[in-house]
Amino acid sequence: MTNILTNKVSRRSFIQGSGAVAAGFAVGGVFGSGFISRTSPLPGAASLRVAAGERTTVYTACVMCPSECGLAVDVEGGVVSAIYGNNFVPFNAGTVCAKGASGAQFVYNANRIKYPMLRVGDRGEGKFKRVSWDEALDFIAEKLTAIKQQHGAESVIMDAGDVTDRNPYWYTFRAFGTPNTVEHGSICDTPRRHGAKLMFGGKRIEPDVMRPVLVRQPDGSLKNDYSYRNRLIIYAGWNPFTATRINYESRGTVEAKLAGAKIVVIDPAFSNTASKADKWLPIRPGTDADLFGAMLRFILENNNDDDPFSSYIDWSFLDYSQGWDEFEAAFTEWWSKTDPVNGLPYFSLDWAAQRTGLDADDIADLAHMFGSLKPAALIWGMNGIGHHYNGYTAAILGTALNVITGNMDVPGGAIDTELVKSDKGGNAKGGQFLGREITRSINGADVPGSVEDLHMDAFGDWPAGWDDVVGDYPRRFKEGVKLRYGPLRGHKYPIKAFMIRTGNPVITGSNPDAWKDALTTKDGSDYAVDLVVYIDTPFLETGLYADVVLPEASYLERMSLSDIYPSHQVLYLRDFVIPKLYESKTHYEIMWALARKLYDLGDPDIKPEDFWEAYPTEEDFWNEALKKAPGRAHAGTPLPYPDYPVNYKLRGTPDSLEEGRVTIDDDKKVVQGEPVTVQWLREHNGVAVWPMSWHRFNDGGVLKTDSKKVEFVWDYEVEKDGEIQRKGRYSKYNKRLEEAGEAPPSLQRLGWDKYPSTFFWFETLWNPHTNPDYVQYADEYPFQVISGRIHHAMSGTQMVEYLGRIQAEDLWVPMNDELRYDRMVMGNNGPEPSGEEIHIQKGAWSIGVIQMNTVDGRALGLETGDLVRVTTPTGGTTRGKVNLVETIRPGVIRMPFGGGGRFSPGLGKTYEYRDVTPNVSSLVDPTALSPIMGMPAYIDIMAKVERV
Amino acid sequence: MTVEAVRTERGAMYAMLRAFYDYPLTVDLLEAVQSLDLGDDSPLAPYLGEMQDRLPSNITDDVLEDLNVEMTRLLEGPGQPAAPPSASYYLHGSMVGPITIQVAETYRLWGVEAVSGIQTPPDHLALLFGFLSFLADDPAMVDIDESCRMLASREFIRRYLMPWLEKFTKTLKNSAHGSFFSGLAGFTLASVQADYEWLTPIADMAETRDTNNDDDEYMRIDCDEVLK
Repeated sequence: MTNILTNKVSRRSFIQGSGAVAAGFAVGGVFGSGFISRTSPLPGAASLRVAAGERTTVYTACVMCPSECGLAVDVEGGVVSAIYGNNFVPFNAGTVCAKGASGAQFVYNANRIKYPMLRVGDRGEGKFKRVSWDEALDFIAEKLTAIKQQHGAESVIMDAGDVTDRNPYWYTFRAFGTPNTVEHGSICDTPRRHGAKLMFGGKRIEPDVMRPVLVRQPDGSLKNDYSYRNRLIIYAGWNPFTATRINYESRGTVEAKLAGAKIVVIDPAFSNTASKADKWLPIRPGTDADLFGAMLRFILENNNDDDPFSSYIDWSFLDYSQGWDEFEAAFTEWWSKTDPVNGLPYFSLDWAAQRTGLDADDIADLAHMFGSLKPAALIWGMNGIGHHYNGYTAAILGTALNVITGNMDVPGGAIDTELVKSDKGGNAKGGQFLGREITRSINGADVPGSVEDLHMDAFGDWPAGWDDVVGDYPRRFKEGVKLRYGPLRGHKYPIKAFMIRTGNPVITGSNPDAWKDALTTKDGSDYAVDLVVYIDTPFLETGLYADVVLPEASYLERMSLSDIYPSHQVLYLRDFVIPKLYESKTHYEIMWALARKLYDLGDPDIKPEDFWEAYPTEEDFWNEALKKAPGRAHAGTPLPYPDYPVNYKLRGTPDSLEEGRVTIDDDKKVVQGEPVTVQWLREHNGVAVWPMSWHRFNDGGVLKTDSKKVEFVWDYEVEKDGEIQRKGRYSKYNKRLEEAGEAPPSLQRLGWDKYPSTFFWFETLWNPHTNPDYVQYADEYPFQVISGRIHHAMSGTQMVEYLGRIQAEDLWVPMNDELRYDRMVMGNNGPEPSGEEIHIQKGAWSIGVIQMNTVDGRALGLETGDLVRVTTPTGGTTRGKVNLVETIRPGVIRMPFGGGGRFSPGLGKTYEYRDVTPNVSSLVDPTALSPIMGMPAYIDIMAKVERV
Repeated sequence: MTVEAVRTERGAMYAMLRAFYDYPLTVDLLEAVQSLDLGDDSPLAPYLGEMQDRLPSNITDDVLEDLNVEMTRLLEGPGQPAAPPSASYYLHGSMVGPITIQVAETYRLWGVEAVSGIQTPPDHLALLFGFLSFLADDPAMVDIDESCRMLASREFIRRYLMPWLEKFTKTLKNSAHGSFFSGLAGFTLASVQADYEWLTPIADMAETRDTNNDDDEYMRIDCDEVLK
């Protein structure tokens, strides 16, 4: 050794004289290094190329929450180095929240799914084997083929979850032959949207606070408008400061207030939004419709057109609506009826005060303020109205209030964002496949129909379940589908395959126990649902029940389009930012590969000309999705393009429309510019922005009702060419019901034989203050349960450590106990210790808690941090720590939605507190599906609280 | 042992280590484990014995399946596996971090790329071992002075394996249900540690070489060129 250290001998002599540890390994040489000199050609895809000093910025769209904001992502050496907002996307106007900024921690998270997996244990055990894509897709394709041959393609559900870039999934499965292509919206807030859907053909009403907006000026130029004209915004059960889909609402609300608007928040809990409000009205849960009804009655009774202080109604709404007289008559008919619970006439101020728990004077003030402070917007949210059995009535009344006061689609008023956003999908949605003719054998006869006629909801138990009825799947999985309506009435089929992508219905699709039971029920030795496929980037609870787990490329590794509820047409690109990590594939790649497998197995419905021949690259596919953009009616004031005819559909890039590079088709009423393409978006900061206008309901405009007017009636007759035709949103369902001679079970429960033609009213369920059937439970179950959104809602981002620590209101707070534990991972028989010790200090990690008023807590002898059990009359139970605060109405407890009780180790430290965090979904009455859309009534719950 | 033999054996050792962490395990690999004889005095012997104990003389499909299911749980996922085989995970808490970029930069400087065809982060253990194998014995390396490659190997191990390998192998051993992966954990750590110890004096010699001494026929290349 001395010689070596003094460098006096050659290294050869040293080597010869020493014993390398590697001696005897010659046999290992056959396995190779797996490396190759870069001068040689590489087989397959190039590996992660990292070039020193290479730095770029890529414009793309976020998915850290459902807002899907426009992003500018810095990439250095092939790795994400920083995430900012895209200044050119007006939806978020350069802003990015804490979640968006921490996206790299999600993309590079150890918990992400890296490889395709096949289940080798029982469902729920979490025992998998890594396989190749070929093995995984062969398995799926063979199962799908067998199911299709034995039961029909309709036995397959493709649930494309929450992220809006679902086109490749729906396209493929619609081509495969199933109409059962669904998404998250059905378990989100369908009752909330009902008013806008019935009356406008729209969906979500938001305040006009998205700024800047691009507006045509009197001199013909286009300029960004940054002004806030709002005078009043009322948020009922809507909390845009915490994880909603509408990025601009939080900053826009603050700006509107600074510009002079009044903000009122109606919510049982003092939310972040309430903290910014001029007034907080802590309403009793489930009584928003009562409040809105009383507001409407007050306005109708007290309107005086001649008095500027009480001229509440803007009668010009009659010019662009129809059916108001019928609606008003149906509404006022209730005024003479007496409520069996409180003995007061419906919709009177005292009646509403009794039910809502608010002061009658406050209700009158609110109605007066809404009628007189204009422009105003009445906005309601998903966790309140959307999650109650009777949310429809509130949504209808709220929509009517916005319309009759003249606040819809005026500057500073309320906007139906669904009606004014760009088309993004066109033929890439695969709707063209739904019209394909099929035949089914019913009672021994071959009956013709179309793929669409097989829809399990539209022609089954939920004819008006426009966005599908995921909450009812547990039952459907067990009982199968029986078509009650349409040409294939009487056809029965089981649900044999469930494809779920970026969704986690086992936790959020109504009651988790019902879901687990449905997915693990066996038919003989096999599972009744023969195939469950989970496709996602994070590994959430539903993945534990899957037969196949597929790694979808993260949002920074795939391409698609985004635009979430903007005030006008704005469309931006989700682009490839970094190479796909591990073996993940994009949705396009996954579906095209599966289509090819199905084709190879002889599937007659999968045709090369619809897939790899039509769209050989991912960009081709998304160019198809862009073809019809923006696709909305040219309407409003100021008119976006003064030289083009009103109400023609506009298509094409903003620059081609602006510069007149268009053709005008008078027959089809289309102004066609140069199609928007992926490349065009890339060359224009990732975004296309078309001009904004208001008053877009006038002369038909953007409305999507049969009459092209705001409709207060939903099943009516018109005469055309000497024929009587039935029109209105409910009419087509009622025709089906009449043809079949039966109402669906959900309507029968209400005592209805069809959908009402105008205003209707029914009570929520588990509320003893409004529904006499539930008064009997009030003493034993004195609390009403509500939920609130936290920043992890709809995203599974608990696995990002940085976000796990951040507090959200009084729901997700650092109330953790000190914990030393072995990090848990999936073992052969469920989660087991990994051997890696983790230490979490007390108060260093936010957990879901039960928010309770201090007065209630003291009455129960509780202190903050005590562990309690919450139990419902239907046997639902969960437990967690109480957080005694003044920020919630007495008699109400609140828990985070999708926050606690999480049982996938893939969520990191949140999993470790699963036994002391409440899962509000465990309390859901699985039979309480709201009667029109089938949405789970997540917070129609009464409960008792006991110390554990 | 000749220089050529050492080169081959070291290349083979790291090739085999790479194969252990490059899913799936194969019959060929397991048979190679069975046939491996390092001698009783090898520091790897007890761990090799543990691995061999798990393997029956006839490696059936069931044996292979069981081991690959176990490997999936330990090293692959879904979600976070028991022992993520990633430098970045243990050093930075995520699957891509500063060390990922540094390792990738090293590959780039050496003009090499992984041929897996997938986008595995460069600091995945299989790739780290693969690079050491390549460095030791790939024909593409013959033009680069061997002492520089050994110095580079030592530096690569010191920077990119030693800071976390013990933690990883401890986690792997504690999480393993059978002797194969428990043995593999010890085998992996002992192999790298022993090679590192063996490389150190040679690397030191290369670092302290006298570049003006024409007598040292094996030290002609300026190693700084390949080590920066």
